[in-house]
Amino acid sequence: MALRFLLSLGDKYAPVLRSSKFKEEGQLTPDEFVVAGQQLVHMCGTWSWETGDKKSARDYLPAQHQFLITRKVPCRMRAKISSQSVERDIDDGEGGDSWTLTHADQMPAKEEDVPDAQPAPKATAAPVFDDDDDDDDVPDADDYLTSLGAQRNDDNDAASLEPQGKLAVEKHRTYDVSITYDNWYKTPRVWLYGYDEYGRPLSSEQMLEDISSDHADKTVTVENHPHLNIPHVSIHPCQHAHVMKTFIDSYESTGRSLRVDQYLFLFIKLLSAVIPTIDYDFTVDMDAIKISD
Amino acid sequence: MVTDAGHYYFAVCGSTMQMRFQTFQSSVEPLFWRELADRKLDQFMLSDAPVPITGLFSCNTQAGIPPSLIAPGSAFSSERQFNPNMFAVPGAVHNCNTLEDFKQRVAEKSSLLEECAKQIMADIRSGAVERDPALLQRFILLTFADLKKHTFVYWFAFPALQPPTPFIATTPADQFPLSSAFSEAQIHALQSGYKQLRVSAVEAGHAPPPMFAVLRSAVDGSVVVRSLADAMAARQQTTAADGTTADGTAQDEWMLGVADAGNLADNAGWTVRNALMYASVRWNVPQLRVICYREAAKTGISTSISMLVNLQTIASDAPLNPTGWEKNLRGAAGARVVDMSNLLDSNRLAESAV
Repeated sequence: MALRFLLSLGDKYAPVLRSSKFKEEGQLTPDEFVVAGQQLVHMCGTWSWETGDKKSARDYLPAQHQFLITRKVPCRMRAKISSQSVERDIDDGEGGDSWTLTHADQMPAKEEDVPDAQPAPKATAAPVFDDDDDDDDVPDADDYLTSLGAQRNDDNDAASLEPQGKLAVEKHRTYDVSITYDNWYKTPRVWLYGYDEYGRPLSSEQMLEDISSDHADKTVTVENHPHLNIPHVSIHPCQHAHVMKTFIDSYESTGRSLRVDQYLFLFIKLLSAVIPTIDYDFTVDMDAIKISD
Repeated sequence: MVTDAGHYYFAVCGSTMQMRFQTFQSSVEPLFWRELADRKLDQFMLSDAPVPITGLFSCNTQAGIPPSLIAPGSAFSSERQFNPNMFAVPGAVHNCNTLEDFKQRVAEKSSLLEECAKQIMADIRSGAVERDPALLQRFILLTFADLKKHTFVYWFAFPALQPPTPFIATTPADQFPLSSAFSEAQIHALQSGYKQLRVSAVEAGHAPPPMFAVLRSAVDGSVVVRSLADAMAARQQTTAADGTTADGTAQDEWMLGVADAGNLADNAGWTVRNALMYASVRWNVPQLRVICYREAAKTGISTSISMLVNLQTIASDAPLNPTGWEKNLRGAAGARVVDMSNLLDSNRLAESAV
């Protein structure tokens, strides 16, 4: 805990990287993060800049460009039962074998059947009032619904199709995916916040079900989002620079040159290994890399 | 052939072709609740006056996922950062001081909805909607924040005005796909034209417009996207309401495009509902082609649908019959509750940081 606390201070107060090291080290300066973020927003319409909590603004980033977010990314099944999809996703990549090689050691080994429709724990989001009899402030759910029974005059709206009921055939989840700049590791960092099929927040434990099992115990942690100050699932950035360096080298080994504004397109590819069930094609049109060649 | 056509006609006139609209599902970001709690303590105090907030929706909902109306963490902020692909919806949060007050508001919820519906109709008739199409998609949020327990009782309404009789689509559902009514070149012009309209709005510091007009030339079939305001001005210059030009020869077709969060192949989404009321009041045509505009990175706008809809005459004193209170998770009329204590309670936060 103490170490993580120090690291969180480090993110805020560590010296800011000024000279470009993205090809040598796989790292970004804050300015380069903004340039790459602008390109991502420009090319991939689902991403946008956010300011977040003003009190948490980092002064080495422009006020309007504190972090990137894409909302409501579909996640249709749990990682533990879809681990076979990892390999296919990576093989689709530009770098051919090298992508697979990079992630060969990250393939989840075991497949467990996990029911994909677990009820949300009461502590996260109760569908109706709780039933604590010892609590006078909170009414019983049924009492409350009964008290509303007298005036359901908009119930007979034949022209509305509700999202619940027969339309909600898939037990999907959705995720808000955000990318911040980590000033300690000098790389982007990914944060996830999930919702169930009813739009209710997921618990941390539920979110971890969507992380490939190899990462769920090690590189993925639950921490406060630096700009939202709300616990999110995050991929720890300690290996990001190294992996990005490998990605960049393999990209350039084919004779092409990667510009720093393309950094985040490659970075998002890295995500797909850790969060295989999140539909990253939804967030980034991978043709964007080809277009900008 | 004649029999087939007659068959279609019968189906079109049958009640099965009455339009139904896929509702929004509310989705509240955790930061929204904290912002609400902070404002309750620092600003609202005991005031329960409605406070303006901004909701978001997109038109790239994937199949099987309910269309979301998002209350983002930035909903209270007056500093706007617009994205051409996220549509801003004006809303108002009515935060009650006690659970009793909340119940009282719930008892009066019909009049709340009616008030909002009147505002929407006033904006339609005044032409305000043409200048700012987002005014058509207002929402209401009733809340009670239990700040000790970090629980929030809430109820969303997405007000929709109902016409005297249900809207009828005269296009059979199997011809809803865009390719049934538009050529590839026209679809391309539609996509790039609307994108340009949204991008230039954002560059000028405005929210992207969730509605637009489309003009298809009778001469060469070319498709042009216009803002609603421009379309209104251009249509007034033509002599006939159906787009016939002064010499009466060219029958250029005006159409209405609506950013649609829905994803059903046979049904328009919720935003289209008020759009049809708007068109009924302002466009003065008996029938209109409506484009339910949907766009995704991979599929482009191929999941969009379009249909001819019979519009109605809406008398100035016609009842608005607004609807739109969101059902709770039981599918019943009722509030929802969310317990955010594991996210907002500072003591528990310290524990979970271990």
